[in-house]
Amino acid sequence: MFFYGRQIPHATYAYRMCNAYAYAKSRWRPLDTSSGYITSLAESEGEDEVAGQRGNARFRSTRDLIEKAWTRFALFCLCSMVVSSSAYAADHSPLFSYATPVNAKGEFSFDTGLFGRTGSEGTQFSTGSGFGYGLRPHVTLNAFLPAMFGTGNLPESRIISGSEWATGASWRFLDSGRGVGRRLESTASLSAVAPGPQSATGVLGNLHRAPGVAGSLAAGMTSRSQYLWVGSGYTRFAEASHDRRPDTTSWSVAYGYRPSKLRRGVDQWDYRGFVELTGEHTGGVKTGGTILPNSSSTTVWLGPSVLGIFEEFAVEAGVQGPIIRDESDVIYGRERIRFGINLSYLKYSSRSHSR
Amino acid sequence: MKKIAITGILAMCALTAQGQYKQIDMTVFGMDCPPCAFAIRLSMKNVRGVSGVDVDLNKGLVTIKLTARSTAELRQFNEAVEKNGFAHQDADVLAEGVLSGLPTAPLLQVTGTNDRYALVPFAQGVDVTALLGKLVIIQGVLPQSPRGKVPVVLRYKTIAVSK
Repeated sequence: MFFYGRQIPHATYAYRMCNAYAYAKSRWRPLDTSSGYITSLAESEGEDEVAGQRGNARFRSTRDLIEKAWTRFALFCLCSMVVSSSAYAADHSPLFSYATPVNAKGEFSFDTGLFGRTGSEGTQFSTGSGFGYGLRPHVTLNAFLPAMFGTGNLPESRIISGSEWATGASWRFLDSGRGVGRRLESTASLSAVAPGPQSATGVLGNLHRAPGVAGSLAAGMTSRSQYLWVGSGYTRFAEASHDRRPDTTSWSVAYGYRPSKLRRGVDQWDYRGFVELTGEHTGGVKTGGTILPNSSSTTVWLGPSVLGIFEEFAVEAGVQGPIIRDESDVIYGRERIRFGINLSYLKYSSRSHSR
Repeated sequence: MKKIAITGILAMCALTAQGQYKQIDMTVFGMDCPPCAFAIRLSMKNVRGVSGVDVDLNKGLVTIKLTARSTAELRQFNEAVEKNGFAHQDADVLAEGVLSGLPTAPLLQVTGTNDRYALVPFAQGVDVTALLGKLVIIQGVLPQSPRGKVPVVLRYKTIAVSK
């Protein structure tokens, strides 16, 4: 999983910023007409002068929102480029699923990816950068910086990276080398999730945002030919002013296979394919102290992904389609497809502690 | 007397300066993909005295070649494996050292290092009495040791006076 292959669940809500942008854009559009946005908004609010002034103020704040959002996004991209020039990362996990790998001691990793979700109300893109540092051979510290862009109105997801800052640690508490190329291992992760600089609109956009906590557990086996990982995660947010974002439970099963012809040496490209089954259940949205009806959702996704690795570099791409969808089309759009590309670069620690 | 002392000092210097592990073929469990191997290779290459590291993923074998003046110890290679999250197993070694102890319980002090092993023959009937106190070159297997430890026994296959 992008970044969360290292066991911090995706801080999703990718669509939130996209919604913010779409929402703002829809309110901005009348400015292009001869009557202008102020008139349009005033009409919708009763055609009085007060409403017009209010609309003027809201127009300014909307435009400010857009300008700030894009300015922040531009800054983020710039920072990412600066960071990626000096940082390294790699990930050899499935794209969407929970998995067990952690960094080696002293190893610094950097992941960045682009994820998309297409639905009946548009397409949303999210990107983010994950940083990891191997504190001990089986303990990795993580941080995740998100960014989102695009348009669309889609249900919440913890599988796809989103607008939440996250930082935490992963602990591979079971690590059993069972043979040449074979491992049996389990990893637990815990992270703090905080609202990022980008806000949302729509159902979640009206909520007061508060930090949350995310935990996950993954177990699996690896070999030179096959991989199997199962995992589950849970995220809960605190309540703020009688509002609370929905709890989210995610789970995944990933099976990977490397054909015999591709079981090659260290200095050659290494490929493997995955079939990933992921599922999510989000609870009801609490607003003003009450749960919004029909705001919970359950979805299950299935699809392939391919991972290629060359020394410190890894590139991974995948796509998923829904096989179970139980969510309100009135509140959320109908999501049809998910896809992602992840790039990793990893700075291995060459330091020998006993020289 | 002076000549003897100088000769002795030079001999001691020669003993401590010579590289003593010539090659180590270590089996490592858990390496499934190139990043695993790449990380281990990088860690081991950075140990002073290592001239080359090859990793065969399909065999789980890490081949470490050392320079003539290497003072690297086995503990360093074990640590390189452990810090990357893998498990070291048996290691075939080709090493040079001084034989000491008793004919029935010989010890090998790998010169240039602090590594010292009790020698156990693979086959019975090997008489090492004539080799005691001499610099020998030995080929054998170091069995798997617990994490953070090094083996205390070297099961040798061949032993001969070093030239």
